[in-house]
Amino acid sequence: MIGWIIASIVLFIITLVSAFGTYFGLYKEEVEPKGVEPENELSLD
Amino acid sequence: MSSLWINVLIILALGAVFIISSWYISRKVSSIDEYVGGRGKLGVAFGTTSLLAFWITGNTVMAGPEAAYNDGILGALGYAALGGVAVIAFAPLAKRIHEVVPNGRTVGDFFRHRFDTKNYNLFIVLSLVWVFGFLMTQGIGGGLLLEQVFDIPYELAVILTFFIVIVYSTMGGFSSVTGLAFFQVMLILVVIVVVPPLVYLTVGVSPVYEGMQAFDLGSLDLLAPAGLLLLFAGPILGIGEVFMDNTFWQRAYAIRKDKVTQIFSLSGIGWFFVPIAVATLAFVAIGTQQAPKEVNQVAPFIAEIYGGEFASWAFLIGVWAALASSIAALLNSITSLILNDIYLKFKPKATNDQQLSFAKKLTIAIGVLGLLVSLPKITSMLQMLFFLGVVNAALIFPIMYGLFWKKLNPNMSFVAAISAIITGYIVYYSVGSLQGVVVSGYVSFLVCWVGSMLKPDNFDWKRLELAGVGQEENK
Repeated sequence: MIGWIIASIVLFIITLVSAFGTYFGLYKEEVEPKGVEPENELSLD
Repeated sequence: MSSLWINVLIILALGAVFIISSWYISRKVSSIDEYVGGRGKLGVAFGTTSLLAFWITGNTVMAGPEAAYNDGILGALGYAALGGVAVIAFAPLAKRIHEVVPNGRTVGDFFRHRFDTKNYNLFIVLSLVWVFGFLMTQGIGGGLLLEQVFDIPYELAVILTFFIVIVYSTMGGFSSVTGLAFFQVMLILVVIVVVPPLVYLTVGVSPVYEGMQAFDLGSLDLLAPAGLLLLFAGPILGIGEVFMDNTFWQRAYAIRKDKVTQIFSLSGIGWFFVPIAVATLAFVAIGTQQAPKEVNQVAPFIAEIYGGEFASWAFLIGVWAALASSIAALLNSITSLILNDIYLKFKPKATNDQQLSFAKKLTIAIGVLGLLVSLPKITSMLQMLFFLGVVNAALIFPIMYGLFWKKLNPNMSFVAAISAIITGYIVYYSVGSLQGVVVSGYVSFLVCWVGSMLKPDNFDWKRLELAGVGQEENK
């Protein structure tokens, strides 16, 4: 069981680091395309 | 009047409010974009409540306390991490989706333009299996819940729930689903914010803590192996669910680009506290030695004993609102996926009115099918979620690297998904369900990463800007 716990902790960290990779410079070689801005909005802000 | 008919009347009254509100919202829905998503229109309030309303399911309110009753504090934290961390992890992906797939409508749009045909077809099949399986579990789980806890016969509960949801979600599609989400989240919050404090005011915090120490010291153990495995393997399953679920992609497209990271992060943090708040009722059960007949009934059981009739009805309203909002969001998500990724392939020149008409008929058809497959009580919700978790985990890295990493090789992505599913299910059946999810995640990661380092692709991100452009021209 200890082995599975350690394995899941390592995979958990790998997944989070990959998801937040842009903040760690993991994908810095990528060119960032520009998205389109919304025409109008529905908001309570 | 018996409690059965009072409970049925509560659901009918709530259903009538949902249907009338949906009719009001649907008067302004005239385009297919508004019916299946709408691009960049949701702000913080509607965006956050829309995400919470979908992701707080009947299971969140019932299985969170069940996990806490079985595994103590780690069980409550593990269940909360499963769903909460997953939504927070999707926040950077949602921002990236706005940047690289600015005209998209579904997760299928991303797969079609980022990968090749074999990857796209595999994903559409797996995605439909997943989202339809999830819809089924909501129907079955909801029926069982209303039958076991609120004395409403299973068939009547399923038929009532699906009938009301089909009517209101068909009227205005995505606009109705997100418009009503605000009201539904408020109802759910009544359960979360009012009931646990009410119970603790009656019982007292110290007696519960002392009772847990005396009767089940293990429930306070923060190093229990089963709880630790759930705490770290659970979020992997949850992340896989969120990443491949079209419902989250619909909301990523629909939320304003400048607010999308904030909204997904806020929703994840907000969701985290929902199962924890309700799970504290399980601690009362442990501390006071009150055992329910079925472990999944522990929260409403304790609420009724120490909170009285008000707490019991608040639970019924909150749980049913959670079920209705999740089923409605899933119906709209499946409609959007089939319309965008199947119907428009055969009828690429379909006009706005033709698409709108097809989407409404499709919502009814999927709803009726969901109702029919939910009637026989085929399986339990948790079994189905763990079973599909192997598929969810297999697609984490193809989706994540596909969005961020131009070197991801489509052939490696395909091999990763297939091999992760096969090895994941071998371990699932030979070792255990959460272990199967972990192995599936590892194989997906290693094949994508090592394979793409050995044979790197050089993807041109401009190809993704074409996703969804054809549908814009048909308007």
